[in-house]
Amino acid sequence: MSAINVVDVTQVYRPLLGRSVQALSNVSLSLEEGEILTLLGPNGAGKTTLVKGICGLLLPTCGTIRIGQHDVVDQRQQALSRLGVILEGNRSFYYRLSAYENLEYFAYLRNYQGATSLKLRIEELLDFFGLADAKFRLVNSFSRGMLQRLALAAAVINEPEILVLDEPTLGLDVEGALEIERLLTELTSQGVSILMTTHQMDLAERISDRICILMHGQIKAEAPVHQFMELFAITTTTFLVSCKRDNLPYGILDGLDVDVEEVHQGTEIQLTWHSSDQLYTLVNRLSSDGLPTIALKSGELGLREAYMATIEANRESQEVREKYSVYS
Amino acid sequence: MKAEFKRAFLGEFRYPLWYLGQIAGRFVVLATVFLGANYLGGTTSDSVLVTGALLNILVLILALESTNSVGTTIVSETRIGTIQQLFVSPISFPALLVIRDVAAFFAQFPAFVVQVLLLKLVFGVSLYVPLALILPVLFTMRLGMLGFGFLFGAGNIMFQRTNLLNILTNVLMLPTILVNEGNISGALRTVANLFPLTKADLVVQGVMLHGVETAYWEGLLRLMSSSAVFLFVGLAVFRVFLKMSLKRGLVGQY
Repeated sequence: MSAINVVDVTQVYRPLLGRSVQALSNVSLSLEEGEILTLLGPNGAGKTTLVKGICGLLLPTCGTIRIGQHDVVDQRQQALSRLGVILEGNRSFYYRLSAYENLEYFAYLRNYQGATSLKLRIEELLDFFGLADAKFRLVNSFSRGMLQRLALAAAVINEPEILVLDEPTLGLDVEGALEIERLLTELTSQGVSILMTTHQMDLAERISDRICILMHGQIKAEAPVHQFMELFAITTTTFLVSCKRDNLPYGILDGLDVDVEEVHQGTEIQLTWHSSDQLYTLVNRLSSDGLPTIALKSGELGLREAYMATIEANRESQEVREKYSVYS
Repeated sequence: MKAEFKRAFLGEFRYPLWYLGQIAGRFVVLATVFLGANYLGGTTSDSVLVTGALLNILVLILALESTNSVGTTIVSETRIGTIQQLFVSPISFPALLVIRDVAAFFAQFPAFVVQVLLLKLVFGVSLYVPLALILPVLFTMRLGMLGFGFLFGAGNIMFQRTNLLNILTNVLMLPTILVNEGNISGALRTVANLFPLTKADLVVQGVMLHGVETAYWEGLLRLMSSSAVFLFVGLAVFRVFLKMSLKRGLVGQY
């Protein structure tokens, strides 16, 4: 059974004043047990709306959201008891309470019924998240990184099976983000399923099992990370040739899909080739025409480029959009 | 419940100066009324009436805290960003607000007692303080006025920034405490008599001013009925507005 199951959810915001906005349109997705599913998409794509819907902070205009076997709207109490949530990150605490008191409060709020005593559980978590030394400090003196770690501790206080995290590394420095990444990886190794949103492609690439790209309230791509990357696994080869553009014998590029670009104030030409085929053909043509290669660079596209390609493709045309819908 | 009690007591007592300042501030208001009345009317002229007015103010303060609590909680939790955490709790949001107000009442009750004792000590006013009788009355009134507060909470969660309406209502509720003194008549008297505040005030005055317990149970029963109706209606309206707000995606917006 899926940990989270979203079926045909449409969300229309109807403000009291102004026009309605359709934030989600027939969105369906599922989070399988023990996996990390990352929602990607530009600002305003509908990621936070979807997350809020899953957490019961929005009632979907139509469609259903189930956590385990419980409907979020009709069986709210049972559904939410399995969930740990970070929505506002560092804005989720009572600033006049200490870290310990905040965790204690949220544990009661989430109806903590763990095997260990609450005191022990809180101390265990503070230790796990590196906050043991600050347990009696008021939260208003915490750094952003500490607050984010405390938010994660609060989210897992009731030993949830599912974590829903809206931008868990927002505003963190590199070190802080890496720390959160390490903690998330550890949590999944304990069997926790995670649904998160982020704009950090490197984080998504490293820890996600699957990614889902949302745009204009619709899912544009959904696939395991490796599968998604394979779709864009095109080797890009760049040649740097010592030659002015006007002197380039364009005949050597016949039949090859090569981008030509002047670099270094026009003294050199960069040839970018999006294929690994006929590599030697081009090298031979260049050398036979007396154009020695100064540098040669080869690499694969990362998730960032794959994501951008998907976004651009969806922006450009409906035809291109359909091309990737095999993963929808 | 336990967590809310701890949170409420920490909120009241973590900063002792703030707590004492609150008591001092209210005492200054009470002292001003007492001394002003004595200055205008002459000492001992209508001491029961003046002491009754002081009690009215104390009861009104407790009532207003309850009336404002739902709206205030929604606004402040939205501002600090914790409201969404309250919503993702398996405990329903209205139930949480009721628990929170109950906890706040017990955290604030010691201040009420201190203020009464200060009145006795400083001005020598004659007041009976049978806590076992007063506490149920004030507690029942708080729940009723919380129901009234849920109506404003409904406005807050749907329309946002309706705090000014809260303040206006607080001012408009001032006359209700004069009903028992016989100073208000007509439609306003009828409306005021519907409020748990007015009913509680009558019982508290009977017990604390006159030491009379004869009408106590009858008064408490009336108060309980009135409070139950207010709480039921308030909660029902709040639930409807909450659902509308969740549908429109307004929760957490300010």
